[in-house]
Order: sequence, then structure tokens, then C-alpha cells
Amino acid sequence: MNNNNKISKYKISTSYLVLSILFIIFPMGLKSIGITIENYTVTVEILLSLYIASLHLLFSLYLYPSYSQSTTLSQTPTSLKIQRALFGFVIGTLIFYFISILYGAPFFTSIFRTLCFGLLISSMTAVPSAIILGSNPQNWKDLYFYPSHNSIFDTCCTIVVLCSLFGAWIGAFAIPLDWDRPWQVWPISCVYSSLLGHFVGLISSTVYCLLYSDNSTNSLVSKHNK
Amino acid sequence: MNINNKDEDFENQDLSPNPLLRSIRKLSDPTVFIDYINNNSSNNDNTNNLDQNPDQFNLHHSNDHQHFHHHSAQLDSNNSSNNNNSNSPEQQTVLKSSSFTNISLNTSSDNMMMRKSTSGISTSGATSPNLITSSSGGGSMKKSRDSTRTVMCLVSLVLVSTQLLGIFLFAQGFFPRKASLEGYNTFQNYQASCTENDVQVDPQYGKLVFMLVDAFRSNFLFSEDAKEHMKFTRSLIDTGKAYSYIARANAPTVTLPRVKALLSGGIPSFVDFVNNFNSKDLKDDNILYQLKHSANKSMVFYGDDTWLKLFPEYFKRHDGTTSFYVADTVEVDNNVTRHLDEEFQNYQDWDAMFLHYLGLDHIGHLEGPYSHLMHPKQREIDDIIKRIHQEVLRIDEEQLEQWNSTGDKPKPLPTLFVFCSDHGMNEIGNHGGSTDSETSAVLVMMSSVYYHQSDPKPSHAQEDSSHANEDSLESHNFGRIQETHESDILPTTPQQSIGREVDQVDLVPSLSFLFNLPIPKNSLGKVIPELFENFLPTEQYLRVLEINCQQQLDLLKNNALFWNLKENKAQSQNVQNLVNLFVDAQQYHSSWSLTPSHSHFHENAANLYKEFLENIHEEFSRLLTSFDENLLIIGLLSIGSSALVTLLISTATISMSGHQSNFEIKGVSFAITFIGIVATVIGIHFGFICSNDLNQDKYYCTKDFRYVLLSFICTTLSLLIGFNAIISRNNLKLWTNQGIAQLRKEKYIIVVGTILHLISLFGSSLVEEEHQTWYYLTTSVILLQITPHSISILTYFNNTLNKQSSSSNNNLSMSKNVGLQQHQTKISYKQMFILLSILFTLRIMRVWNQTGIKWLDDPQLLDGKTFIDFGRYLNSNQFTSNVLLWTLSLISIIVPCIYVFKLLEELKNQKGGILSKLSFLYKIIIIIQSIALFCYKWEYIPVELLENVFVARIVYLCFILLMTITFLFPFFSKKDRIIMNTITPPSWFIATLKYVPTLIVVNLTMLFLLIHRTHNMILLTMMGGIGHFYLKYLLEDTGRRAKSGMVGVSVGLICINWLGQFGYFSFGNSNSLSTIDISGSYTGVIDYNQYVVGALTFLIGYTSQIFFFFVGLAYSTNLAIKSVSSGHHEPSLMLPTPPGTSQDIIDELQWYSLVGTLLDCGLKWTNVFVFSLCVIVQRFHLFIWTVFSPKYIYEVMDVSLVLVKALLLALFIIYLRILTSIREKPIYENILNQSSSNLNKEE
Repeated sequence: MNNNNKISKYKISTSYLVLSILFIIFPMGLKSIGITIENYTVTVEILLSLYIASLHLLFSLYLYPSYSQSTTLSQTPTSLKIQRALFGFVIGTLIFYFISILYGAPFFTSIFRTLCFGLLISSMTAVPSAIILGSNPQNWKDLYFYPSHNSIFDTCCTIVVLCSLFGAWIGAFAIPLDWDRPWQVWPISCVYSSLLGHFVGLISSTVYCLLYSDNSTNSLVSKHNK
Repeated sequence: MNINNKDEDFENQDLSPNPLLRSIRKLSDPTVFIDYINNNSSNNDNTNNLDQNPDQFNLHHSNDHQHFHHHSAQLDSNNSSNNNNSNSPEQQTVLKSSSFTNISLNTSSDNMMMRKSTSGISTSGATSPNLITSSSGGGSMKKSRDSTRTVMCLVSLVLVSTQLLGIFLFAQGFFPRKASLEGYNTFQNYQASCTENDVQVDPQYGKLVFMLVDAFRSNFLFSEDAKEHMKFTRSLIDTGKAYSYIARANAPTVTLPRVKALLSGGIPSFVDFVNNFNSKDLKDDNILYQLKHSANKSMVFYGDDTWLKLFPEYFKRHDGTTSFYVADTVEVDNNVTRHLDEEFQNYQDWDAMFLHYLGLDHIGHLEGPYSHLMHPKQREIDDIIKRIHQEVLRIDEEQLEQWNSTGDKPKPLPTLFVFCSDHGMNEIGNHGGSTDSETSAVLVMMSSVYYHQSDPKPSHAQEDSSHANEDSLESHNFGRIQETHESDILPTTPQQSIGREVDQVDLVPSLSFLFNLPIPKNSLGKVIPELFENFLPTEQYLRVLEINCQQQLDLLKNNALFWNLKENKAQSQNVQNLVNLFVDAQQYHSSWSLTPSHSHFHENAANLYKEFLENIHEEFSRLLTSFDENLLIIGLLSIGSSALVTLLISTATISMSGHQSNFEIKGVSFAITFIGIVATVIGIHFGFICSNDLNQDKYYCTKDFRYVLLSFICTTLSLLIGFNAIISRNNLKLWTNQGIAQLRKEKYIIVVGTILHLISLFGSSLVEEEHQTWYYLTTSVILLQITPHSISILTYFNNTLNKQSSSSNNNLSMSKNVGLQQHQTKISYKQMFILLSILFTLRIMRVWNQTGIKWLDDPQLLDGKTFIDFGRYLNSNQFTSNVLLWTLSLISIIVPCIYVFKLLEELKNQKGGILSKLSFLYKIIIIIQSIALFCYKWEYIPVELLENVFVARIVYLCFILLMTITFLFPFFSKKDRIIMNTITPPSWFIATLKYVPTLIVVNLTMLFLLIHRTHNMILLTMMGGIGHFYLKYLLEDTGRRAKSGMVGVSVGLICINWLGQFGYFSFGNSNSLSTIDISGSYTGVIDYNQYVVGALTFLIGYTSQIFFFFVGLAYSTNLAIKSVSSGHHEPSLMLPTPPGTSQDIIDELQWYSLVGTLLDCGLKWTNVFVFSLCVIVQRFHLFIWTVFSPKYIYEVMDVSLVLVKALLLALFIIYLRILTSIREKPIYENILNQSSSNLNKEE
């Protein structure tokens, strides 16, 4: 059992690394063929968000079942995962659209840009957490409002989500600067910074998994099924 | 049974500072008291004994009850927390700790007093000790408290004075020092020419018509579009019949400094902006003075009455229009134009006419440069120009005919018509900053001379020349005689000067020479050469340039920055080069005058003169970016040290869990001694040594040295205090992470946000767009506060789903649990709803007023149909927007009234609430007030009946009455029936505390409604809603907040402060001086009174901060009540926190406000410090004068706001103390009597 955990620890770590590399390749590839966010904001936002969402879904499909200790996740059938992901995606999009408006995104103009920004953020934050947490609010509360996590996935998910959110948040500070660059237009700077934040989150999850101590192996059993 | 005697007796026996301890030690002998405690602690359920049976207690210690009832609360709480210990030594420790509590309580009150004394009120400082000592015992306790208070007073005095001194020094070093010359110039002051015979410059014009159009920016005249609207003027310019320029104005582009610059020629320093509201008469040398006194011309003036304040008794006839009613765009100009006919009819009567048109500026302020009103206004101005121009031509003709017919010797001089503007406007119609469109004003010179010169048949000029030929007298030789011939040859035609840029101040010397007046002494302008070159003989033209140069050189030599006055030499090589240039020019000039016939030396001389003028102008503008770096650094040090120390102290106070520990500062007595010695030494130094004339020039007597010394001392002292604060026990506790661990989620955002905001100050565009930062941060905080609740709503739904599914099996305990949970989720649900609607409201407030300049040049805005913000839409004269505006203003007046009605009903039903008569009176007054307010806003009352100013005054009067009622009703509130119960705070007191701050807020709202613009009124209502509900949220949150102690409270206070910042910017304020809204500053003011206007401007500017400050006050009072009397509210909990007296509540409140104020000061001062640092770093930045220095002025104003807030808090607490001391005296007497009678009975 212990052995199994150790293997899985490295496995998780590598898969996070792979995830991060896969994640960063796509926008770079897009850029290399001339589709930049500045030019085709909405298209790129949609493409990226679909890509990231499916990445996270595949990641969960690939990784979680092999991880036998995590009872919730192993018990979660594939269809439920997809269902959760879709549900989280849609709800998250609406919520983040709403939040962007509250933060001062233009309401009458560039509706699609804002909506697609919501889509993107949702794919980076809502999808991974929805896959893990499902619709039980207590799980969400435990994950985001209590400092002690019981599963390696929990912590990694928190890291990724918080990093992406922080990235998106900090990106908006570039908008009022008077440099008149094309990327200063809403929401391009936020897209960039959230992508960066997501990447940083994935990388730090990789590192975190490597550093994860085995003392709390028993806690690898998720408590979400409580 | 004399209390004082007893105290003194025991003071001799033990040195314990606490009267309670003394009384208990005394009583512990008969063991009555310990028995009592044992009883108490052994059966926990009856811990409330103490407050249930106060009489029993008083029975035993009737003589000490006055002390005792203050401490029973603490005693009891400590007792219950240590309820396992029942043996007497540990009782002693418990008691000791309670005595500590008491000390710290009083320390907190002292701290509060200190804040107040910092605000410069010494009298209140004198009253406070009495209040405090009257509330608690005397003796040694009093002594120690006194010393603590003095210490805290001194500490705060040092901190505040360091801060203020630092700001003062910094400003001294930062803002340019203008060396202006006193007195008025005369021809006698002119230096002799370098030529042998002194050439006299002849006047070219005899009459002046000076038309100033406020905010007429240059592209109104020079753009292609303008050809249509300024048809006549453009045709003149395009055909070369007028000289036209873009006149570059200096910041600040506000009317008064610009008018001053246009007339005196000086560039007003930045500090002059403050004087814009204080338009006292112009003392500097100026054109008007010279016209009146040197040329003895008679003048008339029509237009903005600022002129009349600047130049009282200068004008023969005048009619001033006020610039205060910004909404009026038509009458204000008609009032000027209607005088034209009459004045041009009897043109012999005046020599100079000044017209100042305001309408265009008003349109700009209301609707911006693309308003539909703008084109008609431009056409109107064009018509006026056409009319005046024709009149001017007619006058000249008539005068000439008259002269021809009568044959008088001196030929009448023609009339000059100057059309100019004082500044431009930016894309939304404001001005004050220094963007290109704001600083580009126009200057057009028109006259019959120019009109005829490029005419195919210059009849006038030819006539002149024929006369001149007849005259052939050199002294009566008119310049234009030669000019008409030369102009055909010389390439310089007016056509080339279209859109040429000159400085606005260049008008002054040019006008002076055109009318042959002495140049005003401080004029920095250079003559516009083409106005003279072609119209004057060459020797006069050269003389004009020479005089101008000499005057500039004179100015230069009087400025210590350029010229070493003692050794009479230039300070720098640059200046020396300038002087050499001038000497060269003079040499050419003089050699030309010797052999005028065959040389081009006059051209060389003219070019050198012009070069000199250019260079010297550059030199003078370099003056604007010269800083005294030593002073800057010293100021920065002082500001920084005091900011650091204040922050340290505030964190120290916050980290104290509650006020259970004693706040201490070590080494203060040493510091005081140190100050004393240093002060004496300095006094001797400057008093005796420096008063000696011999030592006057020594370095240690210079002004700089004095500053250095002072700031050195202040810095050292505040750092000393700071180190003591670090070393003190509390801060050690903070660093050992106890305090930080207790912080709540929002603190991350608050800390990160504060730091980000500080960093953002370094970027010029982020300073311009500071509102975005605040909008962003405030939204973030509230969103973070929502998150826990938003998840609870999921729980809510889930539970209801679950309940439906599992309704079959419910046992009792489960349902109870679920019920509790449901209760919580319900609260959560409510909280989330509150916060969400606050966020919505904030989002709406954001679009109300556009501030900042980043998105102003959006091409979409130019069509006049899209509006950059909602306020502009409301002000556009469409039917729907008008109806909406009317409705919104009505709502914003009615809502506070309804709210007040509700409040009063609640208050009336409270125990010890307001008397129904008073409440009725209050309602009536507020109804009268709101009706008057509405009538004032929409001018419903006809002027014949009552002038609008008086309607405003009715509102003021009602405000004062309402405030009086608010503050006086507690004195007359309903009597408490339960007088015996002295331990619980009287209910009237709680009612007062709960409702007075809210009532103040409502009263203030009514006042703010009056002075704000109509479209901003609804913002106040929104703010009121936010304040009310946010308070509700925060207080509901207190359960969680209480766990985190002061950290939670200060987080709440900071959140409220941030909301204040949000509101501040949503009112349209920004860091540019152009957004200061002075339209309301004259509400109800008939005669100009700078203090009233200043105070009103302050109120308008800081509306939101003041509003949310009182919301914060309401928060603190409610929290204080809650924390002191929480024992009542949660009887289910087994840990009773027994209620305190009203004194306890005040102490608690004082503690909160102290912490809040300290934090406020610490943050603000850090802000000032960082910004000063930023200014030093960026002092050669391109935008230093346009972005950073206005922001610095705002920062300084913010410091004063913080001090005002501290003062208000102190006043409120003093008020409460007076209130309790007056109200509770009879109760005490009553109890005394009763207990003594009880005692008698027992005996």
C-alpha cells in the first residue's frame, strides 16, 4: 500500500508536469500560426477554454481511477465526471461573467469577450474543482475554507485554482496604464496573466507532489464521502 | 462615610493603584467577599448573581460601590473564566488581572484623548481629565493615569508634528519658489538704451477691446470644422486681416490663475491654485494697473465677477455675472452682450473695455465640447466678434473723420480688438490639468490697421501715409506709415502666423508696447515680434526688444537662484552666457544706430534679442523644475519616521487581544528629558547666538540648518518611540504570530491591496486612474466576503432537496440540528443577498461619473448620442433624461425622509428613546427641509417670492436644528424605570449610542444633497443604502469577528474606509485638480466668504469619506454595545459576559476609535511617505507638474481629513462623557440614598 502510494505520488507529479506542458503548448502553437489573442480574442478564448477543459477532464479520467485509495473519485464513473465537468463549466462561465461585470467589465460593449473570458476562467478553475468536488457544497467549503486538506489532489486543485484566479486578478492592473499596447485592451491582459497563473499553479502542483510527505498517507483517503 | 478619606487611608497602606483591589483587600478580612466569590464560582449557573443582586452587594460596600460597579464586570468575567480556582491567593491574581484591565481601559481612553489633543484642541484636553477622573476613583490611580495620559499626549504630539513638519518641509522643497518683485513699474525704471539718443516707443493704439471667452480651446477656431461655426473670425484670419495664435497656457488651467497670468504676465506657482477660491485683489504689477495709472485710461468691464474681486474700483462701469450657476449657459452671456450697444454708442467715454464670456465654459462643464449647445454658442461668439469688429472699424473711421474735419494735432489712435481665451477644455469639458487641449487657448488680434493692410485698396493706410507725408514730423510718425510700404516687400504677413504658438504670457509685454505702457514688473512674456516689426520704425522696434530684454534681465538678476546677489555675478554658466548674449545684441544695436544707412546689424541685433528672450524664458521655466533636494530628503525622513512609528503603534494596539493588556512605551521619561534639554539648547542657540548680527551669515544660523535640526530631532524622537513600541511586550506578541494567525480572509486582500495601491502610486497613469485601483480593490474585498456565504446557499438548496427526499425518517435530534443549520444558512443567505446588492449598487455607482482620462478620447463618444457616463446622460437636455433626473432627485430626497421616519419610530419605541414630542418636531423639520431642498434644486419658488439663496439657507437652518435635536434628545429622553440596576448600562444610553450616529448620517445626507449636483444626489441615497446594509452585514458578522478580536474590528473599519474611497471617486473626483466640484460651494452664499466656501468645497470633495466615517462610527458604537452587553443577547451560552455600565461602553468605544484612528493615521501617513518618495524619484518626470503635484496636494488634504476625523471622534466621545456625567448623577445620588437607608435598616 505504501509502495503504491509512492509510485502514485511520482505519477501524479509527472502527470501534472505533462499537463502543464500540454497546457502551455497550445497557446504557443496558436501564436506561432498567427492566431494571437490580440487579433482573434473571442476565438482564441473559446479554443483555449475548450482545450483546457478537456485537458482537465482527460487528466481526471486518466489519473483518478488508478488511484484506488481515493474512494470518491474511484467511485465516480466516467459519465458522472463528464457531467460534473460540463455542469461546472457552464455554471462557472456564468458566475465568472457576472463577476467580471461586477469588477467593471463593460456591460454593453464586448459582451462576447467578457463571456468568453468567463468561459476561460471557468475552464481553468471551475472544471477541475467540479470534477473533484461534485455538487456537494460541504466539499467546496472544506476545500476552500479550511486549511487542512486530506488529499493530494485537493491541495493541488486549490493551488491551481488560486493561482489562476490570482493571475486573472492581477492582470487587470495593467489595463489603465497609458502604454497603449494592444494587449492592454480588456480582457487580453487578464487572459495572459490567468494563463500564466494557471501554468504556475500546475508547475507548483508538480513540485508540491514531489515534496509531499508520506506521513499523512492515510489521509490520502479523501473525506469527501462523509 | 467619606469616600475620599477612605481612599487616602488605604493609599498609605498599600501601593496598589486600584481602588477595587484596595476595597477588596480591606473586605477580605471579614471574608465576606471571598465567601461570596466562592459561592459564585462553585455554582456556575448563578454567575449572574452579581448583576442580578446588585443591591445585596451594595449593601455590604455601600461606600465603595461607586468604584466597584465599574469593575464588577471584569471581575466577574475573570472569575468565570477561572472558575475552578477558589482559593484565595488565586483570587488575588484574578483581581490583579482585573485591575490591569482597568488600567488598560483607561490607557485607551487616554490614547483617545491624545488623538484629540493632536488635533490641536487644547481646551478639550483640559476637560477630558476631569471627565475621566470623575468616572473613576482618585488617589494614586489618578496620578498614574495622568502620567500615562501626558506620555501619550507627548507621543502623539511628536508624531503629528513630525508628520506635519515633514510635509511642510517637503512642500517647501518641492514647489517652486517664485521670487516676485514688489511694486509697479514705471518708465523711470527703464534702463537706458545702448544707443546714444533715447528712442521713445510710440503707442500704436488708443483704445482696447479685450474679449475673453472662458475655455475657448484652440481647435474651436483652428480646426477645419470651425470654418463653419466661426465663419467671420476664420475669414479674417484666413485672409490675413488678423493675427491669430495658439496661446499656450500654463497649468493649472483654472480661470483665476489664467486671468492673473493674462494680465500680470507672471506664471503663477502651483500653490496659487489654492488661492483660486480666494480671489483677493491682484497685488502684482499688471496691465490694468498700468492702463489706469500710467496711461490714465478709463475702463469698463462686463462679465465674470472674478475680475471685480481682482480689480476693485478699477472700472468706470461694470456689471459682473457670477460664475457659480453653472447650469446657466445663455443668460450669463446675454448679460455681457446687452451692454455692447450702449458702450459702442458713446465710445468717447471709455478707453478700454473688458468682456469675459462664461457661457462656453458652462456648456463645457455641463456637456463637454461636443454638446449640441456648443455650435450655436460658437456661432454666437462669432457674431459678437463680427459685431465688435465692425464697431471697432466704425469707431476708427469716425475718429479719423473727426480728426480730419477738426484738424487737431494729435492724430487719434486706432482701436485694438483682442479676442482670447484663458484656457482650453479637455474631451469631457473639464479643465485644470495640462493636457494639450486644456492648455491651448487662442489669441487673436484684430484692428482696422490689420484689416486694411492686406486689403487690395488700403484706403485707411493710404490716407494715413498721405497725412504723414504732410506732417513729416518724426515724433508724430506712425509706424504703420512705413509698414504699409514695407509689408509689400517683407514676407512676413499675418497669414503665416495662423496657429503659431506663443505663450499666453506673451500678450502682456506686447500689449504694454502697443499702448506704450511700462511692462508689468513680473512679466515673463516676450513680445510678439511681428506686431512691431512691420508697424514701427526700426529703431523703435529694436528699442522694444531691448526694453523687453532689460526687463527680463532685471527679473533674472533679482532671483537668487540665478544671480548671486552679493557678488553680483551669475550663479551658473548658462546665465552668464545669457548675459553675454545680451551684451552682444546691444553691441550690434548700438553700432547700427551709429550707421543706420548701410548695414544689416539691426537684423542681427533683433535676432540676438529674440534669441535672448527665448533662452531666458527657458531658464525661467527651468525654475519650475528646480528642487531643494536637501529639504526633500529631510521632509521625507520626517514623514517616513512618523508614518513608521504610527503604523507600529497601531499594529501594537491591534495585536493586543482586546485591551486585556497594558500598552506601554518604554523610555518615554528619558525622551521627555531629552526633548527638554534639546529645546533649551536650541532656544539658547537661536535666541542668543544667532540674534547677534555677526553670526547671521554663519552656516549654523541659516534657515536650512534650522530645518535640518528640527527634523533631525523629530525623526530621532519618533524613531525612538518606534523602537520602544517594537520592544514593548505587545509587539513581541505580534511578531510571535499570535495576532496574525487570527486575521481573517479579507486581510489578504487588504494587505495585498494596500501594498499594490502603494506601488501603483509610482506610475503616472495609475495615479491618473487611481479610481480604478480603488474600484477594483473594494469589489475584491466584498467578493471575498461573499464567498463563504455563497457556498452556504448551495447548502441551503441541498438541504431543501435532501429534506424532500428524506422527510420520512426524522428523529428529534436530527431535526433540531437541521433547524440550527437552517437558521445559519438563512443568515448566510441574507448576508449574501446584502453583499450582492451592495456589489450591484457599487457597479451602478461606477458608471455614474466618469473620472480619469484614459478612455476620454473614445471616438464613439464624439457623436453626441453616446455618453461617457450616466451623469452626462442625465444632464443632456432630452425629455427622458430630464424626467429621469427629476424622478431620481425626488427619490433621493424622499428615501432619507422615510428612513428617518422609520428610525424615529424605532427609537420612540425603545426604552429610554426619544420623546414623542421631539420626534414629531424632528419629522416636521425634516419635511420642511426636504421640501425646501427639492424646491431649491428645481428652482420652483419664483424669484420674486423668495430668492433661491434663501431657500438654501432654509435647508441649512433645518440642518442645524436637526443636528441640535439629534445631540440634545438624549438629555431629555424617557426616564428609566429601573434605576436600581446600575451595573447594566441604562437603556437610554444604548438607544442613544445606537441611533445618534445613524441620525447624524441622515442629517449629513440632507446637507450633502443640497450641495451636490442634481445628478449626483441619487448617489448619496445609494451610499446610504450601502452604509446601512453593510453595517448590518458587519454586525451580523461580529460573531465570527469577535473571535479575531481587534483584527476583525479593524478589518471592518478598513473595509468601510475603502467604501469611502470608492464613493469618493464615484462622485467624479480624481487626482486632477480639474475635477474639484465647486459648483455647489456657493450654495446659499451671498457674499463671498472664503472660509464658508472653503468648508463647503471640503464637504463636497470629501462627502463620501465623511459619510462612511460616520458609518464607521455607527459600527464602532454598535460593536461596543454588543461586546459590552453581549451577556444579555446570548443567554443560552453558559459563559456569561456580564454587561458593563455606560462607562464601560464608552471606554470600549474609545478603544475602537483609538485603534481605528491610529490605523487610519498610520495608513495615510505611509501613503504620504510612499508618495513623497515617488515624487522624489520622479521629480524629472514629464508629468511631475501635471500628475504628481496635484496628487501631492490631494495627499496633504487627505492628511487634514484624517485629522478632522480624529477630532470629530474625540468630540463625539467627549459629548458622550458629558452626557453620561449629567444624566447619571441623579441616579447615583438616588442609589447612594437608597443604599444608605438599607444600611440604616440593617443596623
